[in-house]
Amino acid sequence: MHAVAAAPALLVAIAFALPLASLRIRRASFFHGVALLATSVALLLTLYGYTYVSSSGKPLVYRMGGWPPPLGIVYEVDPLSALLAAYTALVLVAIVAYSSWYLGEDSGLPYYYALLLGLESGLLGIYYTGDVFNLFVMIEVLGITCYGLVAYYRSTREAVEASFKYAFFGAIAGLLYFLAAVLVYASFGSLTMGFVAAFSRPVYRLIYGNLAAVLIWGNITAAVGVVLALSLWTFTFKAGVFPNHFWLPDAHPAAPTPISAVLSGLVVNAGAYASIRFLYTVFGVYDPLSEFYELSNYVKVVLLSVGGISALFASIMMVIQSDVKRLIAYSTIMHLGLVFTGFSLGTSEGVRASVYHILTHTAGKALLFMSAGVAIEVSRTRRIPELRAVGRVYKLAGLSIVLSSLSLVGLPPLAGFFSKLALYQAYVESGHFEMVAVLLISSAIALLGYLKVVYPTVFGEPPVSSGVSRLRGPELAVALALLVALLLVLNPPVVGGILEQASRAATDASRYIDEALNAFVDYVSRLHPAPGG
Amino acid sequence: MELLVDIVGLLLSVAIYPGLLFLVVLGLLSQWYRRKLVARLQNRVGPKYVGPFGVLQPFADVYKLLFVKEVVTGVFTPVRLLMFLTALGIAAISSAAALLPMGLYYLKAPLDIFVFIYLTLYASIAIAMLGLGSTSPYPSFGGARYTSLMLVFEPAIAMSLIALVRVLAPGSLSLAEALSSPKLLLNDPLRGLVAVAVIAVAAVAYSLALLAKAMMKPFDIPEAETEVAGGYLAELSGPALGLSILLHEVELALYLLVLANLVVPVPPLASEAPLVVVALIKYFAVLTLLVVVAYSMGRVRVDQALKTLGRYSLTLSAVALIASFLT
Amino acid sequence: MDLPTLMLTLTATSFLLAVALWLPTARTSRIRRTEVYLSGEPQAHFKLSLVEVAWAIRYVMQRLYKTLVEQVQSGLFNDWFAFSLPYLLLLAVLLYMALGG
Repeated sequence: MHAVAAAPALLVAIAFALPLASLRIRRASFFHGVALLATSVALLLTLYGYTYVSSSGKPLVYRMGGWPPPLGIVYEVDPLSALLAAYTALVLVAIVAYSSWYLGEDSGLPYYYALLLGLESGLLGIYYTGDVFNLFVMIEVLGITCYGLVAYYRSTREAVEASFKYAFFGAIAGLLYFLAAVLVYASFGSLTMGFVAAFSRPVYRLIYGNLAAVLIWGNITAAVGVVLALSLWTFTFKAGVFPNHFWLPDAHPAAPTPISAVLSGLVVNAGAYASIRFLYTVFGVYDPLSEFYELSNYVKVVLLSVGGISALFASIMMVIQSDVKRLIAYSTIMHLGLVFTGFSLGTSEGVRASVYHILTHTAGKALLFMSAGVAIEVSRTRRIPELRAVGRVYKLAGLSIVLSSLSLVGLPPLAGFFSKLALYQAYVESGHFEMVAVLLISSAIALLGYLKVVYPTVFGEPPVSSGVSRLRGPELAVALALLVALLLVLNPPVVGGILEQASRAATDASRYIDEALNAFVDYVSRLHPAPGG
Repeated sequence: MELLVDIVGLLLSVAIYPGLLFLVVLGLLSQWYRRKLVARLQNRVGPKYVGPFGVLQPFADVYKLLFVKEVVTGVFTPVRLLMFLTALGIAAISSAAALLPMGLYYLKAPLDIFVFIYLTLYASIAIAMLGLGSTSPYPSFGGARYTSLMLVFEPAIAMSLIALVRVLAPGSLSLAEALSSPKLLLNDPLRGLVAVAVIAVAAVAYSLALLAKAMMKPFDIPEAETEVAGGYLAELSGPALGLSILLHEVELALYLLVLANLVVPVPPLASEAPLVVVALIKYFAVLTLLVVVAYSMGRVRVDQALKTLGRYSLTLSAVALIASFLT
Repeated sequence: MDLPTLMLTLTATSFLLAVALWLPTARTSRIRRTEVYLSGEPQAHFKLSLVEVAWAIRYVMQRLYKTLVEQVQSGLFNDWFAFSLPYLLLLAVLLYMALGG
């Protein structure tokens, strides 16, 4: 049970230990090994957490330091959180393997891995946390490690500028989210998501009347509109959705390639997850039993338009890029736009389609960045007209580029097709046929963009021999093969049950609320045992 | 047991009739017809020797090409991969023919016009990849020009098809239903008039876009013989060339079949022999019209082609689509 | 039959048929490689330059692209806020009013 909280804490501890260790130890392979070990342990812990939560059927509540909610900070892990956390850990293992190939003997390695492990800790914290303020803390942890990693090549002007813009924007977004947390605390009297969720539903306010009387202060409805606006703004910033996407095309290319894979594949998911959590569980915007159900149409229209515009805008911009990493960064904006349209529909099919698309997009995007990174390394340039065909000398990289592009476009039988099909079915079921058109048009235009990446790296000129010598080593093959396997495996027969459970956990908040309230009630009843036993 | 019957029926329908074999024969016959018609228009003789009136000339050409033992190609061209893509295009067109209600066994689903559009997209992408994937300058030009045109004619064809199917099968948007049991609004004169207008406009848009898709004049820039040395065909020979000729003819045959039977919905298309004969008569009538109009024009430049297609095909098909939602 | 099943069935059929068509033709032919056809120019002068694939989109929408690149996705930080801040204000006003508050 406590394994759940161990993962972020362990990662942070190792992250801080690495720069200290670098005072004595100089060998690069030590740091590669420690990072790989740390991420593997995190993977085991998150997998254990997932199996525990999915088999028990109820969310897992971990009280930090033993303090009960609503006073203390809790981690509340339900199937959705556990799924995304375990998946993140899995993909990060592959990315660390890739980093060990990509960075080799780089001198800044201890700091790189310190920041990367801190990033993973922040991500797992975001998925696991059940507290509004702790979410702010984890968003900031994630943010700061990201800013540092984007600026890793700090001697280049591009990286520093991109990092600075990202950091400035991120600081403002964090501040606004902090304001939202303050408003939540001021109205609901508690920062625990489970409690805020309970008090958003009149049923629970009635049952736990005394508690509500103590905690709630003033008019909830007045504050929640502003809270939701601020939080959604921050989460659209984190996810890189129009109009808060401006930092993304500059920051993702400037980072080292494994970090681009992490940023585009994993960090943006946190924004989508947090939005799902706030909209479905905490405030119950799509829940007829909740106080804020009147918001559902407004939120749906806003998020549908924002997501749709992102998808179209990004696919159009993808086509004219001459820098391969910037092209892939625009494709991230497009897919996250589609994810936002999925869960904004309000149905459980919509959430299921969104989560499925998050999974397939992560695998496809990370693989695309990694294999494009191989091509960039071999060609010594990021400009598309000058890329060399790495597919001619290293078949796995060529295959990875083709498979990941096809999965992102949505070609059967790869995973991306099934997630786009799920999105299509969600749109049709809720009657939003214009989103079907948006999906098809943006995919068609994006196909041209991906063609611009695939064509030179598979059909182009063979690379010069001096670049090819870098391609040896098992880490690269393992990293690429793992993600290719993911693309082939994530089809409905395999993940159907997992997704069902995750989407039901999101749309049906009663178990989430019950667990949080039970944690409180248990604690109180142990302090004051009822007379007569 | 029933599943086995379904599978066998599907495979026969896709491979023989109205699928691959039927489309190959029809396509090559149409090539003969086109070559003979254009030749007579240009005061030439056309195919004459192979078979009566030279009917078997295209068959002989393709047969000879497919059984050549050696493929001669450029140094960088991945010719086996390109042949697979061409074969995939041909196979996708044959599978799309399983949606036509001509045979004894055909598939039907609501909204299956989208499946039709999706499958025929494989053929266009195959042709584009033949050009771009040949990694040689002239085919690259041809492929890039074809891709540029594709961005305009693909949506135009798709929108015209959806408009036509929407008018003829409003409930289910199913191509099979539009072909086999079209609903003609004869009782309500106003809606009937709008329906006829939509069909006419969509037919014009579709035909123009089809000229571009089949690379017939005036839009045959991608395979321009003098400008880009054969365009996408430059580095192909032997079996590769034979397959790409087959792809071209099969694609044109399928699109013309659908066009002819959607634009003239009576009598509907079914598996009885007289109705199939009538369908083929409609097919050859439309082919004649198209060839005569097309070959009376010269070739246009690619930016002129884009402007023409955009103005007369894309906008007309969009108008037809919007109007079809009003019926 | 419903739409996704139909699509998957026909896609599978076309792949099978494609392999059936391709195997006999691809296996029995030898490949003879010649120099790239350059209308007689020597291949030493040849550098494979990739033609702009998306030329059409760029040409047709050049005005849109000009606006997008110069005004929307310019690199300037202040321009970004001109887009992001109104979005925040819109959200706040909309959601506050929606709750009747």
